[in-house]
Amino acid sequence: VGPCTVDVSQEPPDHQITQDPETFDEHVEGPFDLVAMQRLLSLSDTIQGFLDEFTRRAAVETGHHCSITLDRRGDDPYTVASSDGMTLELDELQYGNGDGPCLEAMRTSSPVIVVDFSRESRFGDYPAHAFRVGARSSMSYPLVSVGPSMRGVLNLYAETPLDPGPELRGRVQALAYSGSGVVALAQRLAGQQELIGNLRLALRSRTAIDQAIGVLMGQQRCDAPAAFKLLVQSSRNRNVKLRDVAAGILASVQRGDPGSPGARY
Amino acid sequence: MSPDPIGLSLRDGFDLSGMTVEQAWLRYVGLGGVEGPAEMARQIRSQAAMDDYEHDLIAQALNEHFLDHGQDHPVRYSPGMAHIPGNQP
Repeated sequence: VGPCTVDVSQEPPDHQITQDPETFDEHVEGPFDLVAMQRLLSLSDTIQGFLDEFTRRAAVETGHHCSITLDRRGDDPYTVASSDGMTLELDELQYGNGDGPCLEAMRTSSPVIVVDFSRESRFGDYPAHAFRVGARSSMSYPLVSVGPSMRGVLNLYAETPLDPGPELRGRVQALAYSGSGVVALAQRLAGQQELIGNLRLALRSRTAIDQAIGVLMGQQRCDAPAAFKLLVQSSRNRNVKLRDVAAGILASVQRGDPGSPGARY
Repeated sequence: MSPDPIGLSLRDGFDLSGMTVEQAWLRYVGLGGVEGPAEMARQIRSQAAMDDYEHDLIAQALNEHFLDHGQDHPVRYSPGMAHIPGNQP
């Protein structure tokens, strides 16, 4: 096998590709600066749309296919966004194979480049599968600091052999840098959405509890803390949650049971 | 008033629950709590002076987590609430 593969971890540092993602040049400006990022966010209705739009624009920027793979500790790697179906298939083939340039970049935290899948000797059966799907080259670059217990890789797949010179490497490194910011932002947004959803659920149960406290205050002629205490005592006695006690009280009121002072719930 | 001596303190109950502050706070808000997560955490950690109602809100929030795991109200309430021993974790 000739020199068809380039593993940049073997190369001298003058290619400006940093092996350790933590030491990426912080001044690298990606093709998606702050204004572009704001535009991307404003054009996207959902977090998934935001991520997909990033990979689509990266594909347009480079003229190749693009995806982002994430690996949360303890889970299997997965493609969080891709520019098209072919890219998704190329990623999924790697996950099924258990090996491939993206997974290697994930494992080593170093960029991995395949110049020609038809002559690639690493990664088991994957290069042959990738070639059949239509990929000729790939570049996989680790993302930087996407979150705790999380690693990520930006993948480019080309239908023609790539010339992985310093100019292209610099562009892909910059893309990976931008992608890191996009993924980190998406994760924060997703966390906020999850919190809002959980608060909605919490407030739903709280409404029933507040109403039951009001009912008890009227029936028992007591203040709110005393009514709450009655609910808690019932929860302890019956080993059920407060919202279930509250739901029982509200149901009895709806049935027309007037309750009585000193009654146990 | 010092809390009922039987059962876990708020601090021990929180530590034993394995919940994050946000998870405990969501339960607390769902029961009627009005403080923010940082203040609720401070009350748990420092055992800061709080009235019985606030103490029992947090105790109930923690106990409902333990209820989900088959345990019967191991966190103690304020002295105003007669303690009924449950299963210890």
